[in-house]
Amino acid sequence: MTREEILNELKGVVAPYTANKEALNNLNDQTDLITDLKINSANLVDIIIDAEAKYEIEIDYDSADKMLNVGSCIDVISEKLNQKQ
Amino acid sequence: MTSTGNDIVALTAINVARTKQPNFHSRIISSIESDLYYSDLEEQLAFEHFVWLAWSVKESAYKYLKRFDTGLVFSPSKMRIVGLKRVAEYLHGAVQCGDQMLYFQSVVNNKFIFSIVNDKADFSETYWNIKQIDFNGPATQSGAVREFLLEKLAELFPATDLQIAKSAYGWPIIANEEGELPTPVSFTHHDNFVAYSFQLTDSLWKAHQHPAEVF
Repeated sequence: MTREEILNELKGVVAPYTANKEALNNLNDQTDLITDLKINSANLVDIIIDAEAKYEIEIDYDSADKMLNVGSCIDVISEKLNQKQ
Repeated sequence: MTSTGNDIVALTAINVARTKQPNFHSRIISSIESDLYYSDLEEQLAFEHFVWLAWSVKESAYKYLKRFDTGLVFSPSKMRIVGLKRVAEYLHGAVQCGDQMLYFQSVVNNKFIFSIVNDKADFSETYWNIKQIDFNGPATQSGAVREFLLEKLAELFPATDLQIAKSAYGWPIIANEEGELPTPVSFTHHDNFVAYSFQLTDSLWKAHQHPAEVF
């Protein structure tokens, strides 16, 4: 999958946890999950679990710790997808 | 340098079924912490409440430590609750964060779990409060918690015009017309609850009373 394809799918993963639809529509690598999308930190684990289910990957704790903005989420998902192949 | 950190979890907003799933709670508590729960705490707390208590304590500890290490990343799996006991209406305990031990005081009821941390097991100089609000959008929560803190500060320091600003690193600060005051403050909000904590030691109290001696 390309980064752009993951970015578009990531919108669906984070959408249930953000009320900031404008930031969601303008999602880019620099979008911060907490400060830009206003996602409560208590939902960060939900996003990791949802991403694992969607892509059928396992995200280890160290990788999960890095998933603070959209770019790092795409990096981690992309890396785990490549490891599957 | 002193610090503060707090966190609130609204129990109305958590997914109980998901919290009980091992692939979820194992990202917040370790098997050692799970053993602590089943050996000492099962009678006192529902498992899902223990998981979110651990989250609340660890997030508070992260906020506390971030002031000393601005590059710190929140990693609940690398922190460990090492003790917990009920003292009156609070739960008190300790959390190991690398080579540093922090202490916590938590409130757990049927609506929320709220925690504050300190570097000693003494919270007599930690001011905190919790408020339920009608609307839970991010802007409403942010405005409400600032207004809530300012009400308390106006009560403590009626002659001083204090404001809430944001540090270059993103955490809130208390400031007067001359700049930042040496009183660390932490905000938290989740769903319909907002809360603050701030640390006011004797020396900081005097600094507020006589700001000219500090600046």
